[in-house]
Amino acid sequence: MNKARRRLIAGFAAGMLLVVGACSSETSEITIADSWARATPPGAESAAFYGVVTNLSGESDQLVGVSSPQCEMAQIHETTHSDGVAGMAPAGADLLSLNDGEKLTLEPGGLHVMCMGVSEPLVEGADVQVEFKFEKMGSVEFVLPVQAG
Amino acid sequence: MKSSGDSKRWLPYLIGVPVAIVLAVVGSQAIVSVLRPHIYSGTVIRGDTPAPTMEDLQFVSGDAVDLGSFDDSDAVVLVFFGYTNCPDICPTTLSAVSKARNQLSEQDQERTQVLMVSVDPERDKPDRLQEYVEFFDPSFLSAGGSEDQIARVASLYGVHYELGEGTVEEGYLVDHTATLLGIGSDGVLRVVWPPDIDAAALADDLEELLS
Repeated sequence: MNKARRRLIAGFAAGMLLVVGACSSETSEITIADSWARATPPGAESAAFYGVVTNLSGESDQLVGVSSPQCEMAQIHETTHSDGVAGMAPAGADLLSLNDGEKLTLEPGGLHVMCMGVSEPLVEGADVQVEFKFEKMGSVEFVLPVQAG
Repeated sequence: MKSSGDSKRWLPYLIGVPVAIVLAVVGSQAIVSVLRPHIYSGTVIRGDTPAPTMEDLQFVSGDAVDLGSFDDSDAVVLVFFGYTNCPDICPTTLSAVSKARNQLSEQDQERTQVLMVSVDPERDKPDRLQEYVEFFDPSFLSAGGSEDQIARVASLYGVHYELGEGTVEEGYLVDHTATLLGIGSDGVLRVVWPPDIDAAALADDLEELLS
């Protein structure tokens, strides 16, 4: 009887752990879709990461930073076009503020994660880790596949 | 009897009229598709002013870049100004150009030469630049020169660029004209495409230029 009860408690505890584990992975509340990192050509010291980041946290939040172990420094940059001249600059805070349910689209020729000082070439088929820091949600980590352009 | 005689009289019309309509529709569509001018996705440059030459610049092989040398074989030369530390727009454009070229017939591929000119000669040494372009397509060529030479050629092509702040060690960005310039077999600048050109649209334009 005692043994059976202990087993029951152990089973219940294990079940609870599973439930908690499942919840924590499903309710990360910041999601990313269509994410990828561009494979780097030989000699390139910088790379770009893309994807659609969605704020599902239930409140507005602000993306305040981005980092990756593969980059010496990472920033959200915006490619701008003016009379055919392309430039890049760190994205303004207004672009990185996400209302609940709002998406931040990082795509070629627009906003992207600018990875400066690539530690080693990003090879097609490999993965890169990236961490987005939000004001309220804190750090959210994603793994992105490396793809050829 | 009378009714069957009527239907016999109408029979040629019953068959002939629909056939004639079908032939007219198909025929006019064929004529329209042949006569309809190709609508370029890029901006067509009017006039016959020859494209500026790049005599000062050097291919990695050491030969002077003379766009006139491509004239012999009815080619299109696609010139792109960029730099290897450009992680977003340059790879986007170069991979679209590679995809577009691969969509062409083998014959047209041989007649399409892509040339990247670096606006960042300080960091883009010739070997590195050539390795960079070959990553996108082994057929791509690159050209470099001294800062003065590149500045001169860029201004001839109406290409603007401005080096951002920072040392080589710190890294810096370069704002630059990222359009793709299409020079025809006669050495005349024909079409200018935006940096975010779609590969299929570019392939259609190239086919037209080569036809």
